[in-house]
Amino acid sequence: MSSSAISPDARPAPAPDAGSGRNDLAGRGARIELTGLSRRYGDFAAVDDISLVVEPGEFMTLLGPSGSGKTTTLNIIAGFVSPTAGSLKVDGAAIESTPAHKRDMGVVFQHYALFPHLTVAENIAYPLKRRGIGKARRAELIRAALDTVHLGEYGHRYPRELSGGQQQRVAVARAIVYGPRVLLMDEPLGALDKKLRDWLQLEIKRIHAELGTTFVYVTHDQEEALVLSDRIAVFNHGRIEQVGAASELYERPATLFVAKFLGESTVLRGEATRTGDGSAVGVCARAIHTPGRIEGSRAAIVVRPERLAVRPRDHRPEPGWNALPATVTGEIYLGSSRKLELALPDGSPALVREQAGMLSDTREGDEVTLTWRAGDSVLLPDDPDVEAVFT
Amino acid sequence: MRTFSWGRALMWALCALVGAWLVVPVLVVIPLSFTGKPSLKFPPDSWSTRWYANFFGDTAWMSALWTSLQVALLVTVVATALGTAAALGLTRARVRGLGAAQGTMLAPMIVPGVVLAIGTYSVFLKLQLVGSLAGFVMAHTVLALPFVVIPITASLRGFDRRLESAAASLGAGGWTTFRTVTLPLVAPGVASGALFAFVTSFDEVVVSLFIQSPYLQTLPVKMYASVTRETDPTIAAAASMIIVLTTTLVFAATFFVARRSRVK
Repeated sequence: MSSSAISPDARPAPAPDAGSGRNDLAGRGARIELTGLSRRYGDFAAVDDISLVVEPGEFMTLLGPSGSGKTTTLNIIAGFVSPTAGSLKVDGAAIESTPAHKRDMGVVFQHYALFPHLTVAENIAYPLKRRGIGKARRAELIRAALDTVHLGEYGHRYPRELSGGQQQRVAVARAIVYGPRVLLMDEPLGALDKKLRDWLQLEIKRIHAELGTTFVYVTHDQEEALVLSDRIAVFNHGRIEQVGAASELYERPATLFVAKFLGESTVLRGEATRTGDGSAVGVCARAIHTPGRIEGSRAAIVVRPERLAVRPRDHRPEPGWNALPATVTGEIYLGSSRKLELALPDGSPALVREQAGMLSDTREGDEVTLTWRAGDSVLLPDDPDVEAVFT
Repeated sequence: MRTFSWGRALMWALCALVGAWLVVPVLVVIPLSFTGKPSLKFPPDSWSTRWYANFFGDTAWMSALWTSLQVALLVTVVATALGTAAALGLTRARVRGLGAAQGTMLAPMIVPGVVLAIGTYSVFLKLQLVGSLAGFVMAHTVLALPFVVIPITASLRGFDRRLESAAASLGAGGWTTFRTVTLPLVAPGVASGALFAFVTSFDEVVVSLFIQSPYLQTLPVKMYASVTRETDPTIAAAASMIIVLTTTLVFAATFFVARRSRVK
């Protein structure tokens, strides 16, 4: 590519060595252990007694709405914010009192934070110079880092001459060039448009696979979290609600907040009573069955939209299935699927997703029966605070 | 396409008038310095460069020039260093009384020069600093400090501190971060502060009049003495050179800053 060929974020073809899986900057990731970590500002707890273990080489995403404490947690790991309680260990060594510049972690910021007075190559050389690495070795490493982010020909440019996506890739190159065992990323794609974001997500995933570094990634975008992560820690009000693989969080959310934050769902509220093989929850004067059990009686049943099916009003549910009458209030055609919005007799909303090729002939205004397997009903303690977050 | 408008014409005329008002009295000195007669009559009847020869031939003028340059350069270094440190403190410290500290530091801009001069004089008498190089540097540094603190504070307020977090994450300690990231990026502010410090010291008269001695005079003091005792056009030559020197400095700095911001 010649230097005059300015094609902002032209998607480069995969590097010839992609697939060989070997990257010159590859190394071993570190294990990060947060125990009882808190950060208080006066009466306000930005991070409130969280514990989390990130395994070596894992891609851990801290997911949550803004103000949920995920960025503060990342800043504590990076050393920009000191915890008011708790311990932080990297590979078993406590580092709470180690200053940021001695932690040897890579950090990628939402707003790139490239040094505007230095060229791309000089930006990437910066951490190498701090480590006293000689000129020849520096040149090799810079080349390897630029190749990793597919910006091989951009070394002599200044950051302002690059597009947002290119700048962020330079920021990644700068953060990985010295082979840190931990890479922290704070909403690195937050300032980019959707298309570029989708592509860079895959790039980040590839770089993670090539390097073997432990990644801790902060985002409020659940889709991004699903695409990238080995495991996700869902944050709310400075606490971790649940940690687990994406499928675990989606299929078996531990709290109503997690269920609502990750993916779409229908929430049915009512009084729970124990039955022989689980619980029954009274919803719209009907008993809804679930295999789950909870403490207390104020319950919420969560059902994912693809688990729900729409049948004619006179449909008789088979044994082991739940049924509720509903009215179709809207339909959204999405190509590969169709979403139906429904209203239950008590006015609360329900959401059904039908795959293309399996569409019912239901139309807006139809009186229908909503059915699903009892086993697809996730029973959770009701949490009235959750509505406030999502509405 | 621009059409003629009376309002616009009037505005231009007014601007030209104000500009002339500001510049002409200064520029009158230049032809005056080339007069052939030993008087400050304007316009001159005859022309010569004898007053320049007189200036460079007279040890009193030359030593005053040398003193002024020495003092101004030392003040530039000291005031820029102190002013940068002060600006950092004012923009970043999280302590009470920052407003009062800032006010105190900027006071020399507001306090009448004579008041400051009398105070400085009485203290310097006690400390035996009157007529000393150190005395001049200290007094002028106090006067120059606000002109350094103001542009550097402005630069620091516009500086993105996330760059410092980035530098720290990449392995740079506090001092290295300042040297390699913060300072290069606020350099235009520091440069204009340094320039103001030089100019402030170089043409300071009031305080200098009080703390001078017959053995150590700055150029403006010597000029003042000259114009009060004799009407010698050498002063016009000296003044012309000061004008040329300071305007050259300011133009060079403006050019340098403009070029830098284009590169960035």
